[in-house]
Amino acid sequence: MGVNLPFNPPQMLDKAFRYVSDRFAKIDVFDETKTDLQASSPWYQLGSIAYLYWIITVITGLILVAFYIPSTFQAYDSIIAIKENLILGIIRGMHKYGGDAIIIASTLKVYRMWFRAEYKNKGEFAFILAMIILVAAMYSGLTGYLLIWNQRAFWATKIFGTFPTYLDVKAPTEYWFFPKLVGTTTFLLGQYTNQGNNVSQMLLGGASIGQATMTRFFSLHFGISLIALVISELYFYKNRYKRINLPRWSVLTFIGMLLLTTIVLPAEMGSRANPEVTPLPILSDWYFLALYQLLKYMDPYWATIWTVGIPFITIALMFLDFGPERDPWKRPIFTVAAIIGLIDFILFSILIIMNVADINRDPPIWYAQMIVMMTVAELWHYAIYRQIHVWLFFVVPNLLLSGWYFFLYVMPKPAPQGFMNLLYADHPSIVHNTFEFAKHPYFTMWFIYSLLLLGLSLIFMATGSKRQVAQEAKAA
Amino acid sequence: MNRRLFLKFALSVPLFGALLLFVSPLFRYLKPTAGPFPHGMVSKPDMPSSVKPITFPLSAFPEPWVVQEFVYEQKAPEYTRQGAQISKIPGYVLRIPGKSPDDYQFVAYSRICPHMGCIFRYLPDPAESAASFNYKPPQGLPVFGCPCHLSVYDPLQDQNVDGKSMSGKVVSGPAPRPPRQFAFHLDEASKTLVITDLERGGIA
Repeated sequence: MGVNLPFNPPQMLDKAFRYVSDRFAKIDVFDETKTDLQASSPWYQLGSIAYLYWIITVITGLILVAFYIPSTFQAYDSIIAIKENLILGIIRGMHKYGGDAIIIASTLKVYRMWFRAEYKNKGEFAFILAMIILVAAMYSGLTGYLLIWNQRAFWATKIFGTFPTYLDVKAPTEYWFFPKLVGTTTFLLGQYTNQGNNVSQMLLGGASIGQATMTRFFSLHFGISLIALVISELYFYKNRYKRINLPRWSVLTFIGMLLLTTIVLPAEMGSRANPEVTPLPILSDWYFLALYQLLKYMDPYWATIWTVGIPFITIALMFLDFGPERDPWKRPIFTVAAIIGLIDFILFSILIIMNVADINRDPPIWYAQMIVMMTVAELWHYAIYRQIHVWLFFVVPNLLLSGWYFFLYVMPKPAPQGFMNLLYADHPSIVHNTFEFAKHPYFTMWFIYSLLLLGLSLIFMATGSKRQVAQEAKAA
Repeated sequence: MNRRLFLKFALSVPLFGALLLFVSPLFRYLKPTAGPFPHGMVSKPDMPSSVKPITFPLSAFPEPWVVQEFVYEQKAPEYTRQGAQISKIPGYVLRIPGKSPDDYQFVAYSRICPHMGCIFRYLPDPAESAASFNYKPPQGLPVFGCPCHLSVYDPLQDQNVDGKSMSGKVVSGPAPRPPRQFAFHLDEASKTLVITDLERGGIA
């Protein structure tokens, strides 16, 4: 036999290969391996529901293509003609609401996988795939609703086409290391490649939204489903899975729900796209509303980075949750993180519908809400595991910092003389605004400190709960 | 080379051709429209160009705070068979108060919001900007406001952009810079305002 080296490249390669193949083996795209659970819980039918609605959307889409004209001059009229025909109108409604249903089902599935920690025990790739499916469904929806060529579609596409251009400009607030790194990288790269403008021009097919954009979006709208359909058919064929794992009555119910929605709430048309007028409350489709509100609150560069980054951050957070616990009540940090995401998604959507966005008032409130909820999660974690370092490293400093934050928010302006002046740190008038707030030197310190604490406590918690479980197993 | 290898090779050629077709939009990187590569690396960028200048008689602006709308046409490259597209850019030219009634001072902005590209509007009524755009002009003077993300621009204030002072300061909202500006000059002989060019950048 060979020599025992501390590390053995062929063995490591073998391990890496096994790591990947184990995780590929656990993939189930449409919950095909969850048949035993489906009878007891409808949550495990979500994958099959998404597949059912997808097939409905593909079939109705194929019918609609026969009547639709993908041209900027005729698209809107051709859809009016489709709408006025009784049968085609219903088919169009089923196509639109079917697409929405795919997004709802995939979102709920991602949440289910998160709360039940289905990514543990070699399920990481399954979770990543669920995220990819959700993003692809949203992108397919975005490319689809430009095809109507109404005001909402036009302006949503304008924003979708404009926001990559921010990757070329210099990031405005570089107040600590990581944002500085991101900002400098994109700026330097942008000087050589103009990546932002070029990506945007590739998406739009030119420097403005026109016929080329429509052609591109039309082909992408097809392409996403076409490629996914081929891959999923190969997957079903290879593994010999049943395609729709639902009882017949449940299939009929879901189709009935779709039909009912279509008839009660006919798919809207909006008014014809007018490149010269932006209507005042202008909204995107419902699944992008929260991101729209984020654009109102944040500097556009960071809003771009966040919009692109949210799926990646979710996946990174999933890898941080490496403890053995699967019960959502026993991993409060990750449960609360998901709840924050859900609450903010819903509240932001409501706020943008009501056209409420005060850039000088709201962002600190959202920031405070996040910190309070995370502190609650830490306390909850302490209640379960009784780890003293949770208090030492997180709860107490967080309360102190929240107090400091509260002071910053309510402190008298202009700065008083004497000792109190020290607290202002050359910022005589702090504006209640994230941009101004973020420039404050104490904010920098606080932000770095809280992130450090968050990282530390996450690691402590994951290892701590592992120890806890081992102890419980020993006691039993 | 045996027959099998040759056939494999022959079959792979169209496959690579198809892949190349898929990647072909990326070749656009070699000829950007946004700005030149540093050190003249490749060719000159094909910048959008003006189709024809726009003129206004000065009599169209009898007093300060009179605004005129116009549509500026710009020829920009597009990835279609025609190769170019005429994009229409709505603009505002606004007369701002000068030293005397005969002192003609103007600002000319592209109405495409520099934030996310929506079309902003002129808000002569301070009540409207306070109610819908979260900004109450302190002196009750008109401002410009964008309906998408509620950025507000004040034509009388200047803002520093990369060391250059530009009018149309962002007084509220998330926009990173003032609106893009038209180059214009006053023709004294014919008493007209001539708008010739537009600052680069953004999506029309």
